[in-house]
Amino acid sequence: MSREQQEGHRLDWVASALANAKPKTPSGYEEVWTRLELLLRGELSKRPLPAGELKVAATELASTIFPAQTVPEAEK
Amino acid sequence: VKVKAISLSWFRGASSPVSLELDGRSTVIYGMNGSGKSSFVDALEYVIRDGRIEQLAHEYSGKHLEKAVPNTHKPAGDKAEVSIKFSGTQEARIEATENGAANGSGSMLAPMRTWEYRRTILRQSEVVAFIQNTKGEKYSALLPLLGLNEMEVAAENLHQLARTVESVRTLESSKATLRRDIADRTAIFGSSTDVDILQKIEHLHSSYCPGKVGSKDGKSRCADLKSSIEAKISQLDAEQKQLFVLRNVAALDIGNQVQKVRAASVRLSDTAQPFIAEKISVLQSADNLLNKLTTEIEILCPACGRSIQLEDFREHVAVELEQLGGIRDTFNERKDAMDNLCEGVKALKSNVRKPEVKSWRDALAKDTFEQPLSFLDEINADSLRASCNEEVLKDIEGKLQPLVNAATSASATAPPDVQRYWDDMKIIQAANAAFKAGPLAEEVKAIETLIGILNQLEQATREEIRLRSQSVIDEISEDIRDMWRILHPATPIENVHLYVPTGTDKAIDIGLTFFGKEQRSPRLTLSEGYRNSLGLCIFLAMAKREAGNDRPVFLDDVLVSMDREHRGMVVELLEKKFNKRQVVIFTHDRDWNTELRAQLSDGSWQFKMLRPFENPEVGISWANEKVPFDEARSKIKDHPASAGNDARKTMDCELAIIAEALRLKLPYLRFEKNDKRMAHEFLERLMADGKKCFKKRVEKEFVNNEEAIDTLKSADELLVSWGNKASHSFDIVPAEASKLIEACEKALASLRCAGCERLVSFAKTSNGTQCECGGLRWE
Repeated sequence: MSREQQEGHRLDWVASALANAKPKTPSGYEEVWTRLELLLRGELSKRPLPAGELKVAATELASTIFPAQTVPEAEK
Repeated sequence: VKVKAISLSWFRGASSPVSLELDGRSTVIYGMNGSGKSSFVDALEYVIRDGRIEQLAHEYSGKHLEKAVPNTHKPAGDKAEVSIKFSGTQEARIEATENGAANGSGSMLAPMRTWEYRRTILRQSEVVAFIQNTKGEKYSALLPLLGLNEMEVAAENLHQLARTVESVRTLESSKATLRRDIADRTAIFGSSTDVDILQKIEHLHSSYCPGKVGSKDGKSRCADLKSSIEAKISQLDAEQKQLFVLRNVAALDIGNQVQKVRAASVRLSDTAQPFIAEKISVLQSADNLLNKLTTEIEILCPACGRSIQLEDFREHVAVELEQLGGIRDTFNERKDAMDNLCEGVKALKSNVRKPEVKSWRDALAKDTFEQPLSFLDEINADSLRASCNEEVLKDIEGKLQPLVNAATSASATAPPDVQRYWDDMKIIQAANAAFKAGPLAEEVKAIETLIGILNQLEQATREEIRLRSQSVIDEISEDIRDMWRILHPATPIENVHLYVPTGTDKAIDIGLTFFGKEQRSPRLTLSEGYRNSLGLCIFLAMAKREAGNDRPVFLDDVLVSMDREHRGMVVELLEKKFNKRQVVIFTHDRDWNTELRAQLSDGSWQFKMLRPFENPEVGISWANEKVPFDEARSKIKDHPASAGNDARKTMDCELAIIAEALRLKLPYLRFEKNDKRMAHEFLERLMADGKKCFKKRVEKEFVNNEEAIDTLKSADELLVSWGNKASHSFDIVPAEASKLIEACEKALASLRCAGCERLVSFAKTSNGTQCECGGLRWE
């Protein structure tokens, strides 16, 4: 990584936070991380999300690890 | 951005329009208390904060400050308004309407509303506010400067997102289902493995479903078996069908389930009691701590009175959290027992209502079971999940268990086939739960991992905030240190800096080294004067960071508790660090105003003076004089002694500065008396030295300025006779005070060139000083 890239990386807080948190989780959650990065670069950093939007975001996030057919009974 | 003028009309102290003409320059405005200085500062705040002035917001000022903002004597129909003009035609205009609403207009209105008040205006009452703020308030105040607001928002959203995932995915409910499934499996299969259970199911499958191929996975096999056994049961006669259902009822363990709820409730109560006691104690300590946190990081122990570090309190809280973990287990155990009882009652209700057992039920109703059956019909089983008090438990035990007992007696004679179907059905149900438990356990684990990821990311974001905060506050700290060194060059109070305390989020504090010892708060050691100058350094350092060298800063009477030496350093600080910024200083301190005029006499700053306030109708008005005798003059009629005394004090100060610039040789006095010499002493020396040194140009020649010496002598004589009387005996009449002021004005004017209007001490020459044009010399 060049010095410029390193500097860019240091300035990019989302990349830096993801890089710090990611190694601590098991594999198989790559899509979760991809989606979280998108969320952090978008809605999550703009304003405190109201409950309705949090619910949508939580459902979408959970759907990346629970395909529709395995949604628990309580959800159906 | 430079302000050209601030104009007020019937706003606060102003009546008819009055304008502070700044012309984009740094300016000192002198005015005695109540003369209207702060009205201009209020006007700026009113614009920046969109119709709000913090210090005026109180119970009597009205919702929109409508009782505080307009001049009390504003004629009906006139408007209370403010106009702030910038270069070109740019302007921010705001009118306080009758109902208090602030109506704004102008191209600079929106930009001004983005100015951060706390980096633009510093009032006397706010100088030490930052120092006295809690760590959290300091963090909030600095947050806009740190540029980390979006990270703060993201961290909080991540926190809430984790909680929402937990609730959307019904994590707690899934975990409870899993616990029940595992309990059913253990009851039927003990410690058998999944393979053992599948073998048993395969064996039953070959027996009940011979020749059926289908899927070989456990759940499909269980489904096949269930259909097959149900088909066989449907072929039983009515009596056998009744026995099968009664066998279901007999298997219900209502009494035992009641006992489990009761035992779990007792355990929860036993665990909760000391926890509640501890919680109260912790809350009391926390309350004390919170009160103290606004001042120090150490608290006095509410129990023993010893000083406790915040870290110790954290440990205390950690113990509480551990206890909370234990109580949560007990709580879950009770919840599971209540869920099981609920399921038991529901199963009883469902079985007893089945048509297969109608005759049994009718027979019971005729017997002594009418009340238990009514109770069973009426009970809302689901409500038992939420609440299950002893009264309900007794009812269930006393009324429903006898029904189970009756079913047990009635089904005791069940034929082997019925018993076998029933036993096999139980095995199939438990096996099915066991096969489902695996995926459910994986799902619970996945939800927990997802929540863990969100928590990790929140922590990583907070760590980023921490690192980046530290980096920014290090830069601000460097400025604070530089400024502090200028104000206090030889003080063993060093390394003043902002820092992020360890182990806390959203917190910033101020540290310093006091005579070689590190201090975690300036409030531990610094005097009020030092805290004021530190507050000024912090304000200026933050203002410097906020908008580079762009926006103006306004200092409203901020040096009240600083001594003369340090006040003098403030000018050096402003010239070194703010020479490109427009700085506007308001002061009621006549001595400092005089000093500033001497220190900043190169023309880069302008000086203005407000007349003493007469009444609301006259409002704020400007004085024309070059020296502040206006204040003295305003008192001639009613308080002549005070007027005379003011004139003397003005002369003390003005002459001290001129004497210093002329390097007059005066006898040494002990300590601070050197700084407190009287006008008479300076005048004596000026007259004595002036006879030889004070020259004026007459055509091309320089001659002794005898006329000036005579003027100084007249003033000195009056000061000795009337000035001293004014100060000590108060025996002076208005005419005498007026004459004294006039003599003093003339004396000071005699030291100033009539041509260039500069003092004879204005510029240094090879052998003395001179005014700007050279018309006056001191050699």
